[in-house]
Amino acid sequence: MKIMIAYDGSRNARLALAQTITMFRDLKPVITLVAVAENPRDITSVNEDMFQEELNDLKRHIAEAMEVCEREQISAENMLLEGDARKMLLFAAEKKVHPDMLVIARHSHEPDGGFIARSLTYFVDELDYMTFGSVSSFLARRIQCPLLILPSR
Amino acid sequence: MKVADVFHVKNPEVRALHLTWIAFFITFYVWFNMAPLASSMLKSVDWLTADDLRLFAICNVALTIPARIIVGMALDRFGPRRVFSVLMVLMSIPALVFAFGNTMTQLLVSRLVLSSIGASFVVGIHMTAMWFKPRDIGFAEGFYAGWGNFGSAAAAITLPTIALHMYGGEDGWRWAIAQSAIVMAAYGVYYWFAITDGPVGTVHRKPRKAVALEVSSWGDMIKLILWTIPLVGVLGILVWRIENMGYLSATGAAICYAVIVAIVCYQIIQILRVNIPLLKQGVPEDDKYPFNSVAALNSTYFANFGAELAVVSMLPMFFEETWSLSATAAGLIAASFAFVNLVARPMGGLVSDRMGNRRFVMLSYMFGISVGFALMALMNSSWPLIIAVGITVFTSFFVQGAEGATFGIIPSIKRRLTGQISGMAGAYGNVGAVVYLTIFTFVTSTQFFYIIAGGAFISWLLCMMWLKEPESGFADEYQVSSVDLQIEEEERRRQAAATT
Repeated sequence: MKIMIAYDGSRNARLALAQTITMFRDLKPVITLVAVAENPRDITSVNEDMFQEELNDLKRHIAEAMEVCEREQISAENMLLEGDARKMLLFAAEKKVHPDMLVIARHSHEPDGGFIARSLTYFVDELDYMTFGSVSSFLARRIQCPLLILPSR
Repeated sequence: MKVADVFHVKNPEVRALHLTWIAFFITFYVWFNMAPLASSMLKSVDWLTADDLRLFAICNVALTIPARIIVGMALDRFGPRRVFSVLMVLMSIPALVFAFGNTMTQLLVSRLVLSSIGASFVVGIHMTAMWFKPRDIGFAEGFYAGWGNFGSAAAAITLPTIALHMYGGEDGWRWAIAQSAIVMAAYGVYYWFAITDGPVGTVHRKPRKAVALEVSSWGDMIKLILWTIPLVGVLGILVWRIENMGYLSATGAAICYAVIVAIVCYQIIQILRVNIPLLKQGVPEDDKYPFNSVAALNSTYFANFGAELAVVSMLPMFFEETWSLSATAAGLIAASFAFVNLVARPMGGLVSDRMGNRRFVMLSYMFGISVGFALMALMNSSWPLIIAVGITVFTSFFVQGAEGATFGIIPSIKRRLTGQISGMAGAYGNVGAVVYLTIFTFVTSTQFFYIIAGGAFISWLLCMMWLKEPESGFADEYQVSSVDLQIEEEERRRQAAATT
């Protein structure tokens, strides 16, 4: 059983990893953690340092996750890609990993703040929804293997 | 970062964003302070003709490209805060000279010098890039560009009112322009003290400044040279036009041509110097990028931002003459073109990010522009005004959305070269403005709209042929080395356990 997890080190992703291990431990899964460093949508070259910082953060998160897998005695691999998160996850699944299942954590955008802030956020989320913007819905429409979306709690 | 975060003014980066877009807004306000006052100027200054004003409109975008180059160097040396402040204070001088100029030469030269203010865009983009995390930067820069660009609309809305009702009289327009210049100088001083280059503790790193863009093949180098020539070469058109109208002697024109040719030759030599050694070595397959995409995006920015600059400079007068409105009303209506900036430009970037296919988004936008301008060309005084305004808004929605979409693709062509690629595309916006405004001195408004529509359509065709969906980072795979070693060790232990 080969399971690929889209992993970005966020709380949701850590929960997803824990859940996956809990649920599928008996199947002796091989877990592939795939992290995507998003290109900064920046049109100068000023931001290079910050991008490197983000890359290092991701590497650290992955290293932590690998330790978790080791503690749980689950065999794990990892992969770090650079680019548009949605496309790169699709690419990794189709071309590189060929998993039997893909696991992603759905992000929740809990709007906070006042009325204006809430309605703005709501509007943007709606736009996301209409244009299949979020990672999970993009993959849900395109991926060719079973997909498990874990809602955040 | 959510959209709503722009209200959290207490966050230092949001504060910096607001300070910076306001600075950009003011520079744009001053940059386009002539178009809405054109008719008042004609009325009060008896020796001015409409042709002169058309010439001023070209001068208004002429020196922006050379100024971008100088500002780029200054940015690396001094950082965006100082450059922005100095730019604002310095540029208030030609604005004041223009406001109180009494001879043709004074007005012409001050407009030419003032056109350098268009380089402010780059400064603010740098500043924004220093403050935001990579994942938020697309939105931050879209917001900055969209709201700052709105300055031209604000000028169109407010300046006629200020000139006619606040100051009034013969010289009302002079005081209105002078006022915008003084506000800009004051804000420049304030900006110096109000902001830092990036969060406190950021070391201003001097980026490796390559003198020319790297390319991936000999064919691409030829293309790059061809696409570099118009960047400065377009100023030749301007010199020719000024000479034609009799404001420049043949000797003066010859000197200007020589300078332009020298600069173009220098740029070509730099391209050869940078690229020939690289190409002789051979560019590795995974490091190649298609220059055709860059060329296509140059053309889109030419056709959308160039068109915007050109249209913003002529729209107030067009409405005033076609529907015989007052200067104030025409300014308000013309402003509807730029008003859309507040939403359309950030939205262009957003849609480009959200759709799975950036190329498709770009193509749709370009097509929309050509349709919109073709419709604007059909407008005449028999059309109801409200319909005309609707079409204007529709067109500008596509124009500014396309700007956002252009800069949505640029970062994913080749990350290492993003700064240079965006510099080139941005400069092409000005090339477009100079070309369009020069054409405008020969044709009527209706023909002019047809020409802009044609330009957008040609750009659409170029995108169809050349623009590739950017496949960012498919070749870049990082292995987490320390973890890799761990895995290998695990494997060995497991195998050792299996054999015993």
